[in-house]
Parts: sequence; structure tokens; C-alpha cells
Amino acid sequence: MTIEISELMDGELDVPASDAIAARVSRDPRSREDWGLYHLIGDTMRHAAFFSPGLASGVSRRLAQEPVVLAPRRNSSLRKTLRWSLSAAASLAAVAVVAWVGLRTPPEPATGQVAAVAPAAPPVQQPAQAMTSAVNDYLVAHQEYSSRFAMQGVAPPVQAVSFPADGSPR
Amino acid sequence: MRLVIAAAAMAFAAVPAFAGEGAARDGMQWLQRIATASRSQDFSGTFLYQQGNRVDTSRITHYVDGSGNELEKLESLDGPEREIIRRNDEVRCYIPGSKLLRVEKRRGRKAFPDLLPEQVGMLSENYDVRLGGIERVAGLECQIVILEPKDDMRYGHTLCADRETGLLVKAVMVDDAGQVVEQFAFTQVAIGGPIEPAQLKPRFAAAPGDWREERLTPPEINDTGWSIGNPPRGFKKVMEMKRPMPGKGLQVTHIVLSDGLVAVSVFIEPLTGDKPPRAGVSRRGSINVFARPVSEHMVTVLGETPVTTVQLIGNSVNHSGK
Repeated sequence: MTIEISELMDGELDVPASDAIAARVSRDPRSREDWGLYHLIGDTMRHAAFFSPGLASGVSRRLAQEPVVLAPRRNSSLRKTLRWSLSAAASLAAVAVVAWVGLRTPPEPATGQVAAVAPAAPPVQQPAQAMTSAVNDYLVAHQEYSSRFAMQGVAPPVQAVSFPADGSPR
Repeated sequence: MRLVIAAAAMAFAAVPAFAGEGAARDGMQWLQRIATASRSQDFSGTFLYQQGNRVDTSRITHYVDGSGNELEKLESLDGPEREIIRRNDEVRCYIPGSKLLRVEKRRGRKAFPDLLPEQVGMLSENYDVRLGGIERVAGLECQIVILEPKDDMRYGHTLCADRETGLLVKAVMVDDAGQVVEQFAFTQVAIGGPIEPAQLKPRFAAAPGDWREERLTPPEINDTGWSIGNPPRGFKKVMEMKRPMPGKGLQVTHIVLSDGLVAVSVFIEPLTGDKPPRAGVSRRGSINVFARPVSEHMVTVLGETPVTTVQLIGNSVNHSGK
């Protein structure tokens, strides 16, 4: 919801989506509070590159370039995901982006209970990619000791589907 | 009582400083005030944490009892429900989605708004500290304090603290290109209480028996046989241990370095042989990552610092024997 509110503020939503979010904001006190809060720090947010109007196309482009399959493997990797419950930061961020990209891409044919975003372009192997799985684990471990946001060191409850930040399945 | 002490401290701090040194000294005095206020003031409020394209909203309530014990409650307002209750260094994390209660020691970790080290003096070794203007944040008149890095091994910080109490209201970390790396900002805060005991109670205290309780003991701090020969100026080792890692059978060496404001982690694990080592630099949001093989091991360094810092640290990792 928070991301949707900031999109609404940045005028990045189409009319039906804007109406829906605006209705939720006006109905739900917490969303309303968020709405107010976001305006308060709006000046700073607008300076952050991530909230620039090019974000949507930027994310889509990155997704297209990377061999991203946003669905868990059916075998032991899912169990592994459940067991280790991933990084709060990385996985939540990725889930948020998936949800968010899902809002603005045409509906895909159903692929079971898990939404899959298929890469539009042939996968491009990034040199750093082989490191990503290890780095995700390291990120979690690092945040336990380093994050200045106390929530970040807390393992989140396991989500229905969770992805590491690079979007590769676990 | 605390107000009286704070007023006395302020009066003392107002003694005119020597010309020239004055600005820096005022800056350091403000840092000291900020460091003290986050531990000694009663306050409750809502703050945002922004890192990259992610924003988290949390509610915090902080109370210091008559014996000087710090009590704090932190609640996540978006995403999965989480609640952290801290009494001094003991931290209890309630994760209702997993019906899990985790109890652990804080291990010297710093979290907003208590971001500054107890010895703020160490910060002047690595940062030029000066006062900025006055800004209004969360309805409060705030003093801006700027920490400009003295070298290119760390990012800069801008702090805004309530002029009256010294409580940190906003903190922004900015990279060398002027981009926000991460920021905290109270959007609403009430300082000075009164805090009702009920505000500090965990919502899930009366958890039924189906909750799991996990007690995490901090890993033993030990000599892992690895050392950082020549870390960048100001970075000191604050933690060294062998720890289990998710998805890895072997224990991994984890060394944490800090300059008092930001931390860099060094991970070292044996190369398994079936995968060729991948060296190089990558980036995860605001975190730079550097990896290189060192004597049959893979060294991975990561932190919220410029890429040169993680590279320099990675390149000065030595194996000094078992």
C-alpha cells in the first residue's frame, strides 16, 4: 500500500488505479496517515532517483534484461526458502516490486498460484549473478549486525512466496 | 528532573567557544547532545525509513524508568506485523505471522534514533562536523548537524535534532553523488511523555501456547585465523566470529568493521571446488559488494560504503593460520 500511495503522489498511476487508491486512502485511517506522512517528506523523496517517473520503464527494462523467473522451484529450493525465511529487506522489496510491476503490466495467462513474469528478452548472464545467492545470505547476516533500522535484523514471517532481491528463484 | 539536567547541560554547552575552532566544537557538542537525548528522553512517534525504493513506517515508544532502564517498543506499521520490545540490551521480537518470539541480546547494535556511538569524539577522526541551519521537521524546530567525510572511504550524514531536547528527528546518509543512501525521519513525535505503561506492553504478550520461543545466543567472539591487515582509516574491528550460514553446511567467518557510524561485513568461506571462484564488484541497492578468492577461500565484503572501501578491505584480508 505504501508504494501505491507514493505512486499516486507521483502521478504514476492511471485513472482507475488512482481512483482505487484514493478511495482506500480516504477510507482507511492508516493509509490516510501514510498519505500525510509521505507529503511531509515529499521534498526529499522527489530528489531520490528511485521515485523518478522513469522508474516503471526502468524496472521493466531491467526485468527484461535479466534472466528473471519470479517463481519458486518446485523441489527442495522452496523448502529451503521456507526454512531460512530470507532477508526481510531483500525479499520484501522484491515482493513489493513484483506486486507493483504486476499492477502495470497486462495480465499474464494464469500460471498457478504464483505469478510469473517471463523475461521478454533472452537472458543476459551478468558476471555478478553467480554470487547472488551467497550474497543474499550475507546481506541478511550483515544486517543483523549493521542495519540502523532495528526491524531489518528481524527475520520476517515466511511469505507465501518470497524472492531474493535479484529475483532469482531459491 | 531530566529537564533540569538537560537545561543545565545546555547552559554549559552555550559557553562561547574559541574563534575558528568554534564551529567544529559546536558541532561536536551537538553530537554529544544527540547521543545522550536518544537514550535519556522519553518519546513516542512515527518514523519512516527509506532505503532505495523501499519505505518502512514504524511506531516507536521510548521510556526511561526511575532507575535509568531504557524501555522501548518498536512496531512495524506496514508489511508483516512485527514488534520489538527492548529493555536495555535485551531484545524481544514478536513475529505473529510465524507465531515466533525471538529473544536476543542487542550486541552493541545501533538503531534509529540512537544512531551515534557513545563516544562521539571518535567521529571527528573521520568526519568534519559542523552545524547547518535550522529546519522544521515533524513540527519541531531542528538544528542541522552535518558530518562530512574526511576521505572518500565513507558517505556523508546530515542529522536534524530537536533544538529543545536534542532528540534526533531526521538522519540522512548521502553518497558522493549527493544521492540519498538511506534516511530516517520522524513524521510525528511527542517528546517528554507522559508515556503510559500500556504503551510499552507487547500486544502479543498473552500469546497462546502455540507460539515458539527462540533464544538466540550471540556467537562466540573468537580468533578465526583471519585478519584485515590494513583497513581504511577509522574502520576498526568490532566483531569476529565463526557462524553457521543459511544454505551452507560449513561455518563461515564473519568479521565486522565499523567507523562508528557505518559497518562493513567481511565473510570468508572455504571454496568448495565445484564452482570456480567469481571475483569482482557488484551492488545491492545501497550496499556495495566485493568478492575475491584468498588462499582456497572466498572473501566477500559488503557494506553501505563507497565501492573503494569494500575493495580496500577485501584486498587486505590475510589468512594468518588456523
